[in-house]
Amino acid sequence: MSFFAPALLYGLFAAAIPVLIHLLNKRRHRTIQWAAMQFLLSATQESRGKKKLKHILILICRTLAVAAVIFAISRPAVSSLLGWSGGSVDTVVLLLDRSVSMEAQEGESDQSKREYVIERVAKAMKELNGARLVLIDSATLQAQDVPSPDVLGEISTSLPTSTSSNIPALLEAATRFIQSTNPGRTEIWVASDQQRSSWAPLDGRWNTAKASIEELSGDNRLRILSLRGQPERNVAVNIISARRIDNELFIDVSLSRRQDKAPLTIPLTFSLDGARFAENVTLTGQTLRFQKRLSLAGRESGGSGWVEIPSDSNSQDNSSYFTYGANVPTEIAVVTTQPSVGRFLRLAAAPPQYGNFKATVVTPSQAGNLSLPDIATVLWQAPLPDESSTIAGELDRFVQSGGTLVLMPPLKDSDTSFLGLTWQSLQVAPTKQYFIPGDWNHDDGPLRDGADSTPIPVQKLKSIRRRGIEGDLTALATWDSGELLLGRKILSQGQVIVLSSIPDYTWSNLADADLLLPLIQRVIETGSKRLGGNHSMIAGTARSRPLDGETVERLDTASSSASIGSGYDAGLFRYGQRTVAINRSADEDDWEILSEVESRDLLRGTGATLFNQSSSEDDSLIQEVWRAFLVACLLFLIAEAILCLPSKVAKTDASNPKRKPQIS
Amino acid sequence: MKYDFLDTDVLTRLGALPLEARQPMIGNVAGRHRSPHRGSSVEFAEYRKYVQGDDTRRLDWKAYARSDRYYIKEFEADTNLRAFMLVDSSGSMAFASEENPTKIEYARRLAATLAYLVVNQGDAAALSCCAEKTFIDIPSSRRPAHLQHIFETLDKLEPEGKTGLIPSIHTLAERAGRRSLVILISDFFTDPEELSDALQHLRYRKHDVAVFQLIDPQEISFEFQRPHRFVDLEDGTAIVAEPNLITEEYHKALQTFLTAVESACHDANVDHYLVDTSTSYEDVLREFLTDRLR
Repeated sequence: MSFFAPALLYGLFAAAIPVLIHLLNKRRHRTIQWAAMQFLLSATQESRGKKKLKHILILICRTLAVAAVIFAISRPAVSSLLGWSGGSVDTVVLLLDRSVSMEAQEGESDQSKREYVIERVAKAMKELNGARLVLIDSATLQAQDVPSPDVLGEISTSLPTSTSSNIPALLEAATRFIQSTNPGRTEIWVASDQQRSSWAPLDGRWNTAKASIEELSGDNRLRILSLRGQPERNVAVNIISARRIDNELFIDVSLSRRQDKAPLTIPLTFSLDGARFAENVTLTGQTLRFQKRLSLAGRESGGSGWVEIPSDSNSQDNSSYFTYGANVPTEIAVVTTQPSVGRFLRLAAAPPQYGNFKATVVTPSQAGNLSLPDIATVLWQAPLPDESSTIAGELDRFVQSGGTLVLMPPLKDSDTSFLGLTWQSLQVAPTKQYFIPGDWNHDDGPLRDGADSTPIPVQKLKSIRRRGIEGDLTALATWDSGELLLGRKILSQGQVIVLSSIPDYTWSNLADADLLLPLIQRVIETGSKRLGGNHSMIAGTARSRPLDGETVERLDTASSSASIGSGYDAGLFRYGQRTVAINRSADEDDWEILSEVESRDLLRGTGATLFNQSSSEDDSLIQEVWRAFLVACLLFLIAEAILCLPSKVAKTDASNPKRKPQIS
Repeated sequence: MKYDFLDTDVLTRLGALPLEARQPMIGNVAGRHRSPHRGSSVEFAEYRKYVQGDDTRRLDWKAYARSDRYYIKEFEADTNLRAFMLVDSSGSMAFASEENPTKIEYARRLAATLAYLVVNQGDAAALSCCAEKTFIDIPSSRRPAHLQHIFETLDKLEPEGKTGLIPSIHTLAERAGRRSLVILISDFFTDPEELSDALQHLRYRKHDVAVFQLIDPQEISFEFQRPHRFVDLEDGTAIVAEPNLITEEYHKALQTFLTAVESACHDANVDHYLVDTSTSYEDVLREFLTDRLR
């Protein structure tokens, strides 16, 4: 507990006044010569125990009442975060969520949630009389000592970023720090808006994080500073994709807001290689996706740009950046032993008179001649390469560097494993029956809905042959029997897409192109992002940082952030010879917040305390509690008054002759 | 000489009431009080059968004529009263609340008035004053000059020290000799069991005993407005107490004591008078004298 007027605490000496008065009174009694002493002594002895106790209680009540008044006028304050036990902490480990959503301004406040919680934490730390403050932020996951609470808001690792956060990873970082440094009685404070994408309640890392927390000694506490308030007026703009097809740039744009309110007209500003133009769009509902086509005539080399909307209650989601590559064909490699399959895949990869794509069909034995670093996507319809083979290593490196590898089942059974994947035995549908799709992911993956929410006609697919695959995959589509239809495995910067049938009419109707064409084109688009001048990265990822020796230059003016080179901020940058567009993760536009019930369920067993903070309310981590002391004073005085009430029996003795000794 | 504790009007009014003994007295002088012995007297008492050795002059011939048996007439023999008054002069007798006489003053009035009444009706009065360390003893006498001596002693009597009542009662029981009227005037702030023994001693000695237990109204009510420092009148012991907190316990202890004293008197066949010193001593004596006439 602290006091806003500590000098008044000297008044506590006044608590001795009731005792002094009591002692003085004892000496100021009238003296009387008395004859019936034996009865007086008998009466005194009989009542000594309880009367003495009563006197002591009365004195205590008076003393405490005076003390309570002195405490009240000294304006005591406790931290609502720390409670009444504040002050007995050696170290505070502050886990700061620096994600995009933490830059939202709640209600009418002009402070972001991050700024608000930093300010409150700094105030609370001052109550802890010299406790050590260690900051672990969501972007770096590195522990940093903060020399003083006053500088908490100024150090670089507390500044805003365009990154996402992973709370289980933050907690793991905190427990590692505590276990390795043993910083004494420690409290872990998690400052977050509890965005579901950040907290990822289904993430398997929670088990590890919670186990680590439970292993900590009982002196450690976990407190969640939850800033769950939502901004009133915030629209987020995001470029889903930007791809060059010949002399046109196709930009898929998404506008989203938290609540479905009245139609909102939003002025968009596009910047393409320095040229700006604006147009209005009307947002009805929560989300609007549209495609903007920009002419690249005369621009043979690559370029960059951004789209932005006016400033609102979150400045970190008002702009999105893109780059595009030179007007060179996007190369796709098709590896197959089946000419028919090769033909269909080539058509899907490089449709005639559509874009600038070049698809090369080779056999597995010729795959070693491919220049994989220049290829966006490899479509592999053949037995998996042996992991000891050269091509297996090259394909591994290809995927790791950002390429996309699509695996389709071989005609013959093969038990070869590659990248942890192994084809299963062939499955043939019963006579006159087909394998049909069951469910697929409409938001993510090659079969996602279009920009205008038009779904891919997956349901048209029919297959009579298919192969399952063993391995750690994320299902993007399943057959109606529940088996995998389309799966994905992320490897470093690239991905492996697994399709369980082939565009061959003895297998399926994939060759009809309804499904195959958009699937392949989207896969190519993903794979081509690393090629040429088209460098799009997500803030906070390893790719978003410059390579050693690369000079860094900021190219955009959309963002006011001066930070460059960390990879944590969205924007257009030149890393050496590369132009990179760093954007926030699309997860940050998902504003779903973890409910309080879900939070408590998730943290059960960790001993965590949830504190709901709101920058729109005039509350504080520090509360004055003088009222509590005045109430205490009142209670003490009432108790003293009750104790001082004369006994009813003694009072009537004087008046009731039947109680007095009888005189004849 | 005039004494404050003697009121001639009271003496005059009370003088009309004789002080009677409740049981036959043993005396050498013919007086107005019954004697336990049968002797020559003017008042016929009863007949009894003649036994060899009786005085034949007391044979009732009329009874013989009626019954052919020999009967002797018995007559009441009157003798004198000796009243022994014991006045407690311990320190506790000095207590008085406002507007009330001290207990010793009250005792003086009782003892002096009784002594006057006794001597005035031809009986003998004796006075003893006792405390722990003092014992004043004036033997009994019927002479008026003796009365003055009693009055002077009472006038000079100052209460001090602890009580010596019990040993004084035992001493008196033995020294009073023949059956006498023993009047005890005290607050009796002593052990009721020892008092009971002393009273039984008096009873054993066949004395007619009357007890005037004096108590001040404030000693009964114990009403005080604020805490006081109480100093014992007998030994100076001091104690600070808040009376309104212990009134109940005080009354309980006092009532227990008064009941014990009353029981001790009852068991010893002693007349007990609990006297509030705010009441008129004349009324108390009147009641005492009237009771003895019944």
